[in-house]
Amino acid sequence: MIELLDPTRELREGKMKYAARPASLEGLRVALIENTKWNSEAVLHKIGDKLVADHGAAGFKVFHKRYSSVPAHEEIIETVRREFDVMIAGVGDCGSCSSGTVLDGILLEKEGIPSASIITSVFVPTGHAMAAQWAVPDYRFLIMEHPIANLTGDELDVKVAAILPEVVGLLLKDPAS
Amino acid sequence: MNLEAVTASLDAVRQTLEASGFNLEIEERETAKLTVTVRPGPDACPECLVPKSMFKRIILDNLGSAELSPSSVVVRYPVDLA
Repeated sequence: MIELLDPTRELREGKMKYAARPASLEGLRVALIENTKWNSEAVLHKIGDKLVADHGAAGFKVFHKRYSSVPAHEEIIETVRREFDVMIAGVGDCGSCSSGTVLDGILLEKEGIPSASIITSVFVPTGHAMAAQWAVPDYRFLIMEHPIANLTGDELDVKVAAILPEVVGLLLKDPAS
Repeated sequence: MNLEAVTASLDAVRQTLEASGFNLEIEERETAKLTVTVRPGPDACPECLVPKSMFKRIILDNLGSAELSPSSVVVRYPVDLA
């Protein structure tokens, strides 16, 4: 039997309520949710390394989604909610995986985990559409220049260096404040 | 309708599709009735498409932002083209 998954809803109005932000990343446990797309894990790993080395995070763990186009499965959401302090999801580098990545951030914010979802520039309309359909059209996600799938490690370093301040900023400061 | 304006309003949508190997075709089959077709190219990534309901919402949002109000919009996804 084929199971069809449609992560969209039809709610259109609302305002994002973000999780309470920590004062710093010092000693915090970082969850990284990668969406199976090429280079996503590499990008998140590099971000995790930086958060530990430069911002004092206690450590990080990479979680792998089963499918790129849907939100992280319940086991991941529950584990992150229970055992981690902040979450970064990415990298949305196609239509459905961008919407799935945005939804990961929305779901974990609702679970009280400060989150940053990263998608690439071409898919901004898709990210906004998913946020709107979850009744949080103002939900803030982060944008990395498209594409990433064909980049080398050195090229990814440049992308990571560019987005890292935004990641830290989003995890530490409520965008709605 | 001004099909040029419609095409311009959906340019960002076209780019998202092209990044996943799809083409966007826009037709006005009757006055103010748009048909938007997502046609796969040879290297299309079928699992990269968002659900059709979401895609239609993106189309309507983009048209609305450009103050374009067709009387109807029909979306044809690859699954509809077989």
